[in-house]
Amino acid sequence: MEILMSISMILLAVAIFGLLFQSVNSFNNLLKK
Amino acid sequence: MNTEILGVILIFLLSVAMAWPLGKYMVKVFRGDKTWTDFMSPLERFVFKLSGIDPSQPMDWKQNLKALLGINIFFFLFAFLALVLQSAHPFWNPVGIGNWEPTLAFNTAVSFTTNTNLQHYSGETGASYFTQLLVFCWLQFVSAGTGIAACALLFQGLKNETGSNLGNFYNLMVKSCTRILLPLAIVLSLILTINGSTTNFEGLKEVTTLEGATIQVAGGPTAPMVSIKQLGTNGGGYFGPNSTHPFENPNYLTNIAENIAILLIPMALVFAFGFYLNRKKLAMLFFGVMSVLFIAFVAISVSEEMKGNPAFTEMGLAANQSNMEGKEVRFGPAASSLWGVSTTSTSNGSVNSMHDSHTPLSGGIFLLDMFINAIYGGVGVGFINFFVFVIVAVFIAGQMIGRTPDLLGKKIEAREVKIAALVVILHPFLILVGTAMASYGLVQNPDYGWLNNPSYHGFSEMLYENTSASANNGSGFEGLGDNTPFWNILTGIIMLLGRYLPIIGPLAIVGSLSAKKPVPTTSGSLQLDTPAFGAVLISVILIVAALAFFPALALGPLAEYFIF
Repeated sequence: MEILMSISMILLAVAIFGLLFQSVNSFNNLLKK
Repeated sequence: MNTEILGVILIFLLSVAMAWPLGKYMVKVFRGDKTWTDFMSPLERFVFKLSGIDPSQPMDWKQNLKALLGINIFFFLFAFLALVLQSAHPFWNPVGIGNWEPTLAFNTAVSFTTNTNLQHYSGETGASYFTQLLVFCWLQFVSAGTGIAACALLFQGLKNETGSNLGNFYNLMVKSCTRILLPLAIVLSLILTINGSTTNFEGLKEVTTLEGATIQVAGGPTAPMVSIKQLGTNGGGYFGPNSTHPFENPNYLTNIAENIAILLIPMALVFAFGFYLNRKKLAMLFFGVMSVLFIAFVAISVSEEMKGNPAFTEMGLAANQSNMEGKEVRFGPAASSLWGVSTTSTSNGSVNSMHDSHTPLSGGIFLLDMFINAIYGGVGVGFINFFVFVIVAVFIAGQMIGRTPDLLGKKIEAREVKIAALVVILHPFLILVGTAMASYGLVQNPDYGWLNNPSYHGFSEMLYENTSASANNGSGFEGLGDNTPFWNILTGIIMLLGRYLPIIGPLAIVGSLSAKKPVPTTSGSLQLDTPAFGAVLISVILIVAALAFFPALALGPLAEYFIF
């Protein structure tokens, strides 16, 4: 259970960082318009 | 004049006096000029060689941001794994402290990576010496270095005539740690150690009290961690009670030194802006705007705490006493209030009194400080947040007088204002949605038992927790049972979004401005370094930050004030 929860927490953080990386591209697209 | 007030004035003036030369020095570090800390070069070269990074490689805003995010994922993963596997550490765990529960490890790893240092644990019982030094203390350096480096990239973007190179994030981050934070931390660490902060690895010590009882007292390498927690506007204390603990903040002298350390780098970065861009008058205007708000907030908080709690008088206790509940006698109400305003203005988050026990208006001021989050602000990010307010103010002022808004010779267009508006809205969005979720959860399930206080004060406790997470402050109103999966995950998500999006947005704006051709300054250009623009800027900050949160303030500290 602890291991599953730990993996979930890592995945959550990685997903949010993924969104943040994506936001760099989104802001870049917004600036190009 | 009351000596307590004199102490407050002295701390503020000393901070300003020390910030000016530090700002000059920081600019030399950012530019790569010769400095007295050049002897750190071999260490820096070793770090770059080990990590395979070329610090001289020019990078645009996107490359810099991707580097920033990439290295911060690594910081998070390292901290998280170190916490969930704490009992496996080979050394520096004399008491044998065990592994962390995953949601608490997630919250704490995010908290230290994002320079927030919200602590849902108690350091002396939850963390080994290994964790305190090689995870928490180290992250307090590199997360502060991340903020300073981001600010230096912003300066370069504003300085560029035309071009996309903002500098190299890795180079700026490492040098911020080795040449700015480390030397200052060594000096402060020595001051604290000489005055009684512990610096040892001896584990628990048995002590016989005056009553003859035997108790165990935790020591440890406190002074090094406290010094960087203040200088890097981190706030992550070695002990649970933070800087109220006598080993973290032994006397009034260390209180002065630590309070100056909280304000020093955020103030110095405002001056550094002036030196870097050769716009000293504008930097002084920015510093003036921040200082007007800071001094007004300190005056309100000090006066409320020195007036005392009328409920005590009504109960027949001694009249005309200042509010000493939750405060240390060795600091008194004025120094506690100054610290409270300093720590919430700069997103530091360390405390030398219990904020929960401050009078309602004083507690409301602490919240307002974090809502604005740009009065000096956290190291680096404070100035970046302030820059967003400047963009909005330039746009509004330009519209008001019918002139094309331009900032430092670069035209501001709809796309930059859109990004600035998104960043401005994000902070209230995260705080208010988080507080609404917590309030709803509590109403639906009253047996959660998070709150130690009912009614308005209980609402303020939940509002404060979300605000502290979004502002990357890390202080707690306390009175809230925050080590639960709900709070650990909610504030973890808020801290991540509240940290990086307000860095990504402004750096995208300067990246865009940097690539534009400068427009010639004419009599039609908007003059920024004037008192009129200063007044517009203060109005924008108060309207945007204060009004967005007014309903929440009315339900919490203001309602409590009127029934006080």
